[in-house]
Amino acid sequence: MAYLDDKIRDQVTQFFQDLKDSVTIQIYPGPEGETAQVFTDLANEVADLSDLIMVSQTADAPVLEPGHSGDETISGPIATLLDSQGHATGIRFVGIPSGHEFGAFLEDIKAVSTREVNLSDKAKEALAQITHPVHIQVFTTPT
Amino acid sequence: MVDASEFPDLAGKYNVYGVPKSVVNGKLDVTGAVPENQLLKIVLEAAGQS
Repeated sequence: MAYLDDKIRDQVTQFFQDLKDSVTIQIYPGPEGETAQVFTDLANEVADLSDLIMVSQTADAPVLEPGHSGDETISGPIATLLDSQGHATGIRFVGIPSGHEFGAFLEDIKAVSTREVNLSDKAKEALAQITHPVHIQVFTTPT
Repeated sequence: MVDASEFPDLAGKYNVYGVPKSVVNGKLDVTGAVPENQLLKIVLEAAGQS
């Protein structure tokens, strides 16, 4: 089953026209085979729209909360965006980016590929001063 | 980005009742699509830069 219709595929193809470097969507399936398959199928449909986007799978479980792990277990698929060198960017999708979050997924792929973000110069300067790892979790719900 | 419905234990840990909810280093949080400067403030605070 295709998740993206022709209209969306056209729009996303257009959106990816100015990608520069390759990006890999690396998926750790987690324990839920069905949701992992949905995420993988969706990622493959996105990757079909640009030669610069790849999808891979890993059997290595990521740390759920880097730097402040608790007892919580991984209950769904987790995708990490890798840059053109294969390095993890720190951008992760814990669960399927559906609904409004699909837009953020595409924006983040583009940001990794072009190395351009929409932050103000002031914010970029302040963030560049950070010397310790920071883990930001943005909780959303499917819409 | 975390899908709260697929990761209910994690969402419960941080009392996610409204979304988006941003949690920084598991300590500081803000709910809502807040302006850049508000998110920046807690990120810098969590990083010990403010």
